[in-house]
Amino acid sequence: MARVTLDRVNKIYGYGPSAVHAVEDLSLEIEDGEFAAILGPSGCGKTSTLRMIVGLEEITSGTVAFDGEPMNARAPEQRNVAMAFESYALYPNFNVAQNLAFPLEVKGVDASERQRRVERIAGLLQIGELMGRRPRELSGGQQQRVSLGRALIREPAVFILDEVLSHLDAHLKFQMLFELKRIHQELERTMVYVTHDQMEALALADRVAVMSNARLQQFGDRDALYDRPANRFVADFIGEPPTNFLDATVVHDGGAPLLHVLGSDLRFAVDGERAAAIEAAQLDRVTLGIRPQNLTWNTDGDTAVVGATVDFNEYLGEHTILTLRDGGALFRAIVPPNVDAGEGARVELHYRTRNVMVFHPETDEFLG
Amino acid sequence: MDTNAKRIVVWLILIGFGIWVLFTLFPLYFMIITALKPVEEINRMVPTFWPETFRPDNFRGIFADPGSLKSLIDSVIVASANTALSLFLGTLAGYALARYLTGVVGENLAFFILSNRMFPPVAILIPMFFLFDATPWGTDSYWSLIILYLVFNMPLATWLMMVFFRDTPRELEEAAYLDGYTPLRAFFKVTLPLVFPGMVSVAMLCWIFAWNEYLFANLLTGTTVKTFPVHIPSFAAGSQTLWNFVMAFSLVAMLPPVILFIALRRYMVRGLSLGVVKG
Ligand SMILES: Nc1ncnc2c1ncn2[C@@H]1O[C@H](COP(=O)(O)OP(=O)(O)OP(=O)(O)O)[C@@H](O)[C@H]1O
Ligand SMILES: [Mg+2]
Repeated sequence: MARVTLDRVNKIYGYGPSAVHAVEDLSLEIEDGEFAAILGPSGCGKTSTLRMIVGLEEITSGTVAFDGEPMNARAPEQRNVAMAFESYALYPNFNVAQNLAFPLEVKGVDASERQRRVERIAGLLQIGELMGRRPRELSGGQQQRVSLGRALIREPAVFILDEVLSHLDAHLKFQMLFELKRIHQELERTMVYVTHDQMEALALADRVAVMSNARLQQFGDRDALYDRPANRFVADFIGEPPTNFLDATVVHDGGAPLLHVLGSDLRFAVDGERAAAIEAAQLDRVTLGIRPQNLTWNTDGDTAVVGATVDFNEYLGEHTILTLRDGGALFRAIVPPNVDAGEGARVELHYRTRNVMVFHPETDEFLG
Repeated sequence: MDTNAKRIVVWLILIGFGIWVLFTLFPLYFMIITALKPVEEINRMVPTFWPETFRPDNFRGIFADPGSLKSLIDSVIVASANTALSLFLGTLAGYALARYLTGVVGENLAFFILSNRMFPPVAILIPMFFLFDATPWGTDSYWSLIILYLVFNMPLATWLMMVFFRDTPRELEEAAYLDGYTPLRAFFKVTLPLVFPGMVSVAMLCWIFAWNEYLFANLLTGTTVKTFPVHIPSFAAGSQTLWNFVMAFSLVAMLPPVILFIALRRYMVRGLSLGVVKG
């Protein structure tokens, strides 16, 4: 078991003009026994980060420590970590059972115990019938589960899982998420889970580290990411459909500031906290963000209202997504499936003023 | 194309292949019948294409000279020892180039090593003679040929093994490190089995080169050590060339590589396609 600390870690591949700065000044503290996820678009440095944690990649600068003890100089085999690779890395000469048993064999676990653990993990991951097959005789999703099983079969200080569910169908993915969560609760070991699927990250992890362009954007739990995103990128990346962003000018209509969306008649009110933040920043232009979930059809009274024209109505069974327009401004809202809002209809939507997020128009930082 | 035209094309291709097969197999056929003829029949102005008198005894006759068997044994010793050494050095060097020298330096070094194989061997004939003459064991020894052939075989072995190692995913070794293997153990237990078919092909190529080499063997050795290509001219004693003995002996000398090739062809095919098809 271990608390994993990254302190201003950098990774630069290559030299000179062709150098790639893959991880930039990354500081992260993952608690002992925590389930942490690293979330970010392709190429943002997730795998590079993992490889530095386990010791497969040299750390250009900074420190990786387990329980406060620096690991930079330790070889991978001395770090007591288990990793599932994005590329599976199954041994082609071994069958599934041998692949699963390999880490135990190296550690000198005796044959009957090996057998027991292999069967248990195969049961959990639903690969019991595949035991005698070679990796090349398996589908992508099957290989992926064997690779995950090989990582989960030991009980190391830290589990590192790199996109381990990306090739599974939605149904199987859901079951595997559940199993992973259960294994984590059972073993109470630190897990670092990398994905570019926010649903997986939010479903599994206690806290999610959102990365973009080699930098950590925010490390926080679900509520923090939803309600207090560090910047526009996080607000955009977390949540489905993505947050609506609208450029707005700040107008002072007697007392509280209003956000007047450019090129339209839309006006959003903000609550006191946000108003104060805008005042403090002395801005007359801001980027306004509001999640489609927070623009509602019905109201319980404590809300403000905006009106717009329906541009497009997507009926999705459990709900309907409305694409709305007012002047040049486009935004989306999630409404109940049965609402009567045909294309071209004029509708009113409700929102809570505290759900209006305000970002700095140039730095994209979250103001409040 | 209509079916008629197709059929004509197929026939033309078959005829082409037929001619090609004739060209390659006819010399072999002529070797075999010559090996079975008596000398008088060979020396006739109009050659016979089927022996009038069969003389299978020729195959016993060649071994009347004790030098014949010894030359084959010498060839086996030189070829096998050189192959073992080439493979050992080439595998280690190829691995180092594939995994640790991946930059510009590695590329150039690998190309330099391969380029050793590209210049005409005659260019180094005389220097090599003086070099080996200066060694304690002299030119006429097993060691001189075993080491000399490394000049040709090691670059080939290094280059091919490097290509094979590049095609084996590094992550397999990395997974083994994380499970507690040291780099050395991961190399032997995880990576080497994957390139084994490739190693067999490389061994085969090295062995055949060393088995057939004549130029250097003829110049450097000939008394203490005498490989079979150097031994063949001894059947041309005096004014008379015993072509039947030459052919019989050549046929015997062809057997070891042919047998090896047939025995190992399963690995050869897989090994030679290693670099082409990944997976
Ligand atoms: N060995 C390497 N040499 C040079 N550049 C590399 C190397 N490995 C990764 N990179 C670069 O570093 C950056 C980060 O790569 P990384 O593999 O960490 O991304 P990732 O977040 O895991 O992406 P994905 O979601 O696609 O797996 C990329 O721009 C990539 O091209
Ligand atoms: Mg990755």
